[in-house]
Amino acid sequence: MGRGWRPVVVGATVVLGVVVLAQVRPFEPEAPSGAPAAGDPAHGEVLFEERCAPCHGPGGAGGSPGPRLIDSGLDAAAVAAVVEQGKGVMPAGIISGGDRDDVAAYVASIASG
Amino acid sequence: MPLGDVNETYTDLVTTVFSSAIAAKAWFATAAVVLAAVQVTTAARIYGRLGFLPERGAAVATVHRWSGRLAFLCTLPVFFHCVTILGWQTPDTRVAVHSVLGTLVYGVFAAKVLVVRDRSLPGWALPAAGLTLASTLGVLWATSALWYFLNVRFGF
Repeated sequence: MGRGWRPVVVGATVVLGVVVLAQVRPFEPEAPSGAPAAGDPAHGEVLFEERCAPCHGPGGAGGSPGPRLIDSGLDAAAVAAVVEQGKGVMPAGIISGGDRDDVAAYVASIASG
Repeated sequence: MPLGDVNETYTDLVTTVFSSAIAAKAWFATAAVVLAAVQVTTAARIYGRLGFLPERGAAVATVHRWSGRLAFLCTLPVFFHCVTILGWQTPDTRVAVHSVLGTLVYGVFAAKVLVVRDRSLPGWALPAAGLTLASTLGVLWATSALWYFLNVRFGF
C-alpha cells in the first residue's frame, strides 16, 4: 500500500475509535441522580418559558417538536430524568442543577392538571 | 473517580460560565466554526486567492496554524459531551445527520493533518481535505448549535 493511503487509513481508524466510544458512552449518566430536590415552580415557570416553551409551547401546551406537557401525568422525578438524559430530539442537560429542579417542579404542577 | 462523577464534574465546570452544558456546547461549536472560517480564509490567501486580504507570508501562515489549533481545542468539550455522554442517536433527520458527521469529523481532521505533512500527494489533496473538514464542521454546527440558537435559546 502506498504512502498516499496513510491519511485514509489513519482517518478510518480514528472514525472507528469514535464509533466505539459513541456506542460505549462511558460518561453517560446511568440513572437520574436521584429524585430532584423540591424545586421552586415559580422560578421554574420563568425558565420553562425561556428554554422549554420554544419546543413545548407556551405553558407546556404543546408545540413542535415538543409534546404537550399539560395533564401529561409526569412527576418531578420523571421530568428531571428527561431533562438530565434527554429524550428523542431533546438534548440531554438542557438545564442543570437547581434550575432543573425548578423546571421539574413547574412541569409536574402543570402535568398533574 | 467513578465515571458518573466525571459527567457531573464536567457539568459543574461548564455551568460556572454557561447556563447549561448544552449552551456551553453550542458556544464552543460556534467558536470552532468561526475559527474554521478563519482557516478557510487564510488557506485561500496562502493559495493566492482573496487578494484583498494582507499579503501572503508568515503572518497569514501563523494565523492559519493557530486558528486550526484553537478550533481543535474548542471541539474537545463538544466531543466529550456528544460522543461520551450522548453517543449515537437517530430520532430524526437532523440528529441522524449530526451523528453521522460527528462520527466522521475527527477522522477527516486526522486525515487532513497527515495530508498537510505529506509532500508526495497531489496538489489538490490538501485543499480538498481542508474544505471537506470545514464543510463537515459547518454542517455539524448548523445541525446542532444553530438549531439550538433558533429553536431553544440564544444566550450563554
